[in-house]
Amino acid sequence: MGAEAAIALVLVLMMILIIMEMPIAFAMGISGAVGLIVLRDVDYATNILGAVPFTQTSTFSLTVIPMFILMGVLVVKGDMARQVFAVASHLFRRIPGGLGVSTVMACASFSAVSGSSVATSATMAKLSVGEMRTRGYPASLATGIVASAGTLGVLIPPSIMMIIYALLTGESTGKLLIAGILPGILTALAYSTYISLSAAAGRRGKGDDRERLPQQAPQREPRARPALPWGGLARVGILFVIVIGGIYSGVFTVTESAAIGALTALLMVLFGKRPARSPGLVEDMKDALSQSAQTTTTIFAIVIGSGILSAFFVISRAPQMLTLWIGGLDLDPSVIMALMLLMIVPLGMFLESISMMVIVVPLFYPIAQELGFDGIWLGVMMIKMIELGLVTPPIGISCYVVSGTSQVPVEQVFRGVIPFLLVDALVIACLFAFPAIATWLPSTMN
Amino acid sequence: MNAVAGVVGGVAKVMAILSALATVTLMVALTGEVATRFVAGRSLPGMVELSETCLVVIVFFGFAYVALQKAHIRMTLVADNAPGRLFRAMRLTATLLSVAFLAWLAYATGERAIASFQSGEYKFGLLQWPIWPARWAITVGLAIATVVTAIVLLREAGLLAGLATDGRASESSPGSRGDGR
Repeated sequence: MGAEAAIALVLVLMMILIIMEMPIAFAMGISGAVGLIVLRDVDYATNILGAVPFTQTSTFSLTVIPMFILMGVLVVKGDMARQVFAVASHLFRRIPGGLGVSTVMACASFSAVSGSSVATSATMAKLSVGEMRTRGYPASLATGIVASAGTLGVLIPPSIMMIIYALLTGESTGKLLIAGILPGILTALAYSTYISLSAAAGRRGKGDDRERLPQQAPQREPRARPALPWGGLARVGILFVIVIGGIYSGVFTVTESAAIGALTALLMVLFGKRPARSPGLVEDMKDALSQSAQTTTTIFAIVIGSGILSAFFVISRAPQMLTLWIGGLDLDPSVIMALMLLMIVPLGMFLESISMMVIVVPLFYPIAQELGFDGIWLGVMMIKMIELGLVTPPIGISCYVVSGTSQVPVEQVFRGVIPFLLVDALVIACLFAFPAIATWLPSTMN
Repeated sequence: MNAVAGVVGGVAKVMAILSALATVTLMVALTGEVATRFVAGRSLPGMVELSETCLVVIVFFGFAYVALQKAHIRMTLVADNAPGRLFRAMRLTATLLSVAFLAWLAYATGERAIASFQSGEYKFGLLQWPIWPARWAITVGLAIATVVTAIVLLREAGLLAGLATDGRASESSPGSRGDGR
């Protein structure tokens, strides 16, 4: 069988296995192995299967992944999100749509220590959706704000997706993490601006009545306001400075920053104030360690599956064929890049984000290099596009998480996300037109 | 058969505990390295190698428990909406193929582990660090995961009453299931 037919067979087989509800890691591994048998033989495939699990895990630079996961899980246990949200609600209470803006800013802050979109969406949905609905926000908008802002978790460092991109491409993990900061801030500001403008438009009686954002409801000022929990914000700040400051300044390597961040988060949970209704310190610790190890395993299973699939792509010369084909198109490199990035959107509707990244990056990255695009910029752009997949039907995991947490039907969450998708499109256009938004900060690193 | 399933489930849970402990060990090793470097101006010998071995243990000792919990990331949208008999056939076929794939991985990595042990494979750094324990950890983790997945298959086929109370998949979230970071 020729290489082209083998590639088609492998891709079709992989999609069939994924549709059959097979774990995506195994679907990638099996289809890759079948491709290796087709192009070589069973012994060759067995040889690859014997090597990949070790080479894809026994690598020092990858120890950063369980450390960031552990830090994120501990941060969720540490009640920091509630405290950050309380402070943000206070700070933004006077601007139009202040509660929605507070939610976005709290999501951005929490993303800076959690590293996970799902964790950010789930945690913030519990805190903010009920509050927004009490203040008159339509359910679709309240949940749309959280689902969209929750996706900042994959862009703002520490982002596991960035680390996986670095693993797949060989780009600097530290630079990629730092590259996510400005686009993350830009996205948060764009969401906030939209919310504020919509609220202001609502005040002037414009827009669709049903979807109109309320102004911040007038709040009765209590005579004796309870002290704001600044401690939570301070702890998030400390973790951010340790992790991102350590990486940016070059004081710590990425791996060391992650480990010190995890240890600091652990100490914060051990010695911090216990949240109300907490099951107890020992239970929290057991749960955090178990969750962290389980998440690490699921992520590495995909990395191993993609390693087998990549071995097939290498011997089939699929990236080279794709590069040659695209090189033969009489199109401007920017147009080719835009088309490649746009292809990620429909893929994101059917593939989970990490799986999509491990399939797409080995194919797209060489082309982008050939066309002269910066690898760090490409990482940020791909992750921005993947963010869209987190909130677009039918997969849109952030929407399902917010729906499950807030008991709002998922259709309403998807509807609430639509305006934020348009805001995202604008941010992506800015990043495309001005790559320096992503590449400037890493270029100033020590 | 149910007794075997119970034992295997217990083994998977013990391995998950070891996986969690390896996470703590990794954190301590990495922070210890930083502390040593700041205080003594040099690296801890063997820290890199220990960290790599810890990562292998975290990943592969957690495999069986993840299989037990059905926590691997998967797309459930189509299968969940398929007619009952088709859904069951799809799920059984997928689980059967998963068992075969895990067994193949266990066999392939087992060959490597045996060769590594027989040749006394070491990594040469500041210390001579044996590689074969990590290779065996991979094989053991995958072998136990194969058995757990086979038991899950028997249960799904209706040939086994139950593996453990927490061995059932959550059926609540449509779309895709798993961590989805």
